[in-house]
Amino acid sequence: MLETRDLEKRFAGLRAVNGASLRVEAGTITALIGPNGSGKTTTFDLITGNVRPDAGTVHFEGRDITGLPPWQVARLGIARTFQLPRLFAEMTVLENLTAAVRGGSLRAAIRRALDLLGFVGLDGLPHAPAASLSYGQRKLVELARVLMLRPRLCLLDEPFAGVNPTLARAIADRLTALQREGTTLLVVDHDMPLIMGLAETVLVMDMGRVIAAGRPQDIRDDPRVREAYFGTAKH
Amino acid sequence: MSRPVPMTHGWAVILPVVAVVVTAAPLVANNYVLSVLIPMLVFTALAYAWNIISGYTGYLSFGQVTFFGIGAYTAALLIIRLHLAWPLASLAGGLLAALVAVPLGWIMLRLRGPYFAIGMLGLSRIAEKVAFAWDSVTDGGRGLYLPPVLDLRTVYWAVTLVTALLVGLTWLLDNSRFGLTLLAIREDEGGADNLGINTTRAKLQAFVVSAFFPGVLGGIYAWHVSYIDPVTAFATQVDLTAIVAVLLGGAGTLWGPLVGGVTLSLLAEFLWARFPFVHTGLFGGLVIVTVLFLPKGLVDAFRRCGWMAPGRTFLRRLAAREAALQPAPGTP
Amino acid sequence: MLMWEPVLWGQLLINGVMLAGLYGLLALGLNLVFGVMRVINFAHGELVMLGAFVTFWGYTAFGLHPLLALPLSALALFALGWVLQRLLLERVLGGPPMAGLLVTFGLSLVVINAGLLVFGADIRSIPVVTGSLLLGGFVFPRARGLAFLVAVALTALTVAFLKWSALGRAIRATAQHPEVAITCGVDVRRTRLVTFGLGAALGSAAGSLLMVILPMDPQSGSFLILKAFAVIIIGGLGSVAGGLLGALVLGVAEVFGAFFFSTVFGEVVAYVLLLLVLLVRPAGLLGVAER
Repeated sequence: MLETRDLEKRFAGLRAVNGASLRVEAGTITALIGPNGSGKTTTFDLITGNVRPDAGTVHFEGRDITGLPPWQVARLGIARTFQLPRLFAEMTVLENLTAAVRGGSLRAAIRRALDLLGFVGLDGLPHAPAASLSYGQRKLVELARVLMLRPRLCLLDEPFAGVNPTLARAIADRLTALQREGTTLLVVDHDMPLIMGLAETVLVMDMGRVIAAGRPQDIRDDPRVREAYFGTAKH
Repeated sequence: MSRPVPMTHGWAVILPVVAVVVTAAPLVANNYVLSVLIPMLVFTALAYAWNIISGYTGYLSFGQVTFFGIGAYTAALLIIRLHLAWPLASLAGGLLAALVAVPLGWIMLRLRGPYFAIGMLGLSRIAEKVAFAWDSVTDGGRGLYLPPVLDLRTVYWAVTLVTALLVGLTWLLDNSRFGLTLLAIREDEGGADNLGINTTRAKLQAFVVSAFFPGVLGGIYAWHVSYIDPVTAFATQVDLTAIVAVLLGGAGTLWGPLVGGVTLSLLAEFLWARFPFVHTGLFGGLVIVTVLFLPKGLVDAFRRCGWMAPGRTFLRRLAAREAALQPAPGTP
Repeated sequence: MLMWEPVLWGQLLINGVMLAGLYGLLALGLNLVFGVMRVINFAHGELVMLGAFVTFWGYTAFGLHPLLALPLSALALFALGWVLQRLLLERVLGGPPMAGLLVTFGLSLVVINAGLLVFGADIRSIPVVTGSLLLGGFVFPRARGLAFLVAVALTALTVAFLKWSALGRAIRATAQHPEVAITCGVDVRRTRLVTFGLGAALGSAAGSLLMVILPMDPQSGSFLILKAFAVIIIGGLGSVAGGLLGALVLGVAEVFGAFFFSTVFGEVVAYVLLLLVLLVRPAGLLGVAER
């Protein structure tokens, strides 16, 4: 469903992404892991069009979307969340959600917003100002917000970061529910137990390229992955 | 929570009364009163127009007077050379300003924050110089003289109409998804992009609207005072008053420009009249005080005290209706 | 029109470079403040104007030669800058980016008004040096030449100060990485106070020199600020070397533009270059990347 080939991006001499090629199959939850600085967020940026690649291509559902502006990528069905949740601070939760949807009936949009708020467990808060929410609540609202677009592919950047274990579990359950409904997920995170338990496929990035891909149990034992995280092992 | 202020039904009564008073005023007021009211209305309208691109969309422009001046010169030239009637001429002024705003906006809106502000300021200075230099058309520094206007009532009604249109437009903005789109751009343009909002187009639309009305007002102004030159057409004072009024009242709100404009007029009446030599300094002081202590303006302060109802209630009301029809599913 | 006339071109170049020297000093203070605080000081033009008028006052009230009054005026403006930073600008740091611009914009209005009240609206000048020198076939107006030399000297002094003195290094460190500077023991707050004071002092010096050449009135600051913006944006915000380069580009462009097209064009060149750079290469010629 999503395929990138040899993506490259340099920032002032630093190769943030250096030949990243990956595939994500439709309907799966795929994890993207790797040490800090390996280029995971930049790869997301390249996919969503926030950043233009210096080289390489991105294909989505067979279509070349390389270099398209972010709003077009979003309208094609790819949604994305950020490491630090970005909400529209001066607007209420409901306004945040309805702002995401253009066209169509406002009633339907509100209906969907309320449903999604229920889905993430925040039903009581539609009129709360976004600025008054706790960190965990913001993450949930951000998730609900991207779901307003009915994306076919969700790129989630550290959905479990900074969140207490109960909430993390709740988020993981939502993600599984999403996958059951047919949404494809590509998730970056560092919470290994959680993400390994959630994902069917794991991609590992290091130094700007994808160094391994496979099932969670295979990746756990892969020496290249250990080396990426922990340095060269002494045998 | 602040005390809720019941406003919805009150408006059905207040609005017609205000409309009647405002429209009938010139029938009882004399030319002097009108000559005081007209500039006040012009500045209020300019504040409303500025509020759209700067308050809602968050692109603070220090050079919207560019469009005021373009409208003024266009209308003046059409009246003088082609003997066009002033309403048509003013409209043409607005249209030309809007037309020019399309390529200008497309270019300038790439800049963010302070760079956009300074860039627009530079643009307005260029416009003034162009007006000076292009004297085959504009008569340069000598300025253009228009036939004098004796009946201020028509000027008053014209300006009132424009102001009312702008208030109505702002109300629409406050109660529509397009308004939310603009606010989204202000709050987090990148985030809005990622949500599928074509921010470039939305910004441009806001910018063009914020250019059209000043253009029309420039035309009306030129006809009203019967003389324009580069300095008065592109005066930074014009921008200044609008900016301070909106910042003081509350940027991105429906009543902000009005509250700010009225407050400024009152201050002008009581302070400036007594101390005319501190006008500019007081404006500056107001800006500083507002930015430091009232960053969201008076309207926000009034709302927090419960003196004013929260804005943008359309979603709230629609949601309440939805929830009543069909309660949302609980936590799975 | 664009024929090869070495004498003419040479003269224009000399005029351009002399103007550039002044522009460099004019923009230096603004650049420093931006570099350290990431705030565009909209009131810089007014501080320049104030400095000019304090010098003027020294000249008319006490008969001080502008070169003597200049350091005193700079000192006064340094103190004023310090106070302004302490009372106003410290409050907007770390806030939304427009807050700093708006506060300094408000400040500029207050200072203009103060200037008008104290000095009146009349245009003044300090015609202390007149006449020209003829050297090697080129004309060097004495006043401009003097102003140029002093401006260059002050700029060089400032660059040396930034490079070699402890305080200068503290300023540069704070500009590049305030968090790191703090951990290295730099009193970041005091550095900011000094920087704004320094910016005001340099502006005051530029103003004092300008008044020797041009007549000024309390409203002259508004047109100077755009020139200063143009310089630092062309050269690259926050880069001192960029500022000097930008000054050179602007000075030469203005002189050539004014001669080959019209005086109005010369005035417009600054704004046009400003816009062009903002749109094509916002980082400027030597700009630092945004933090």
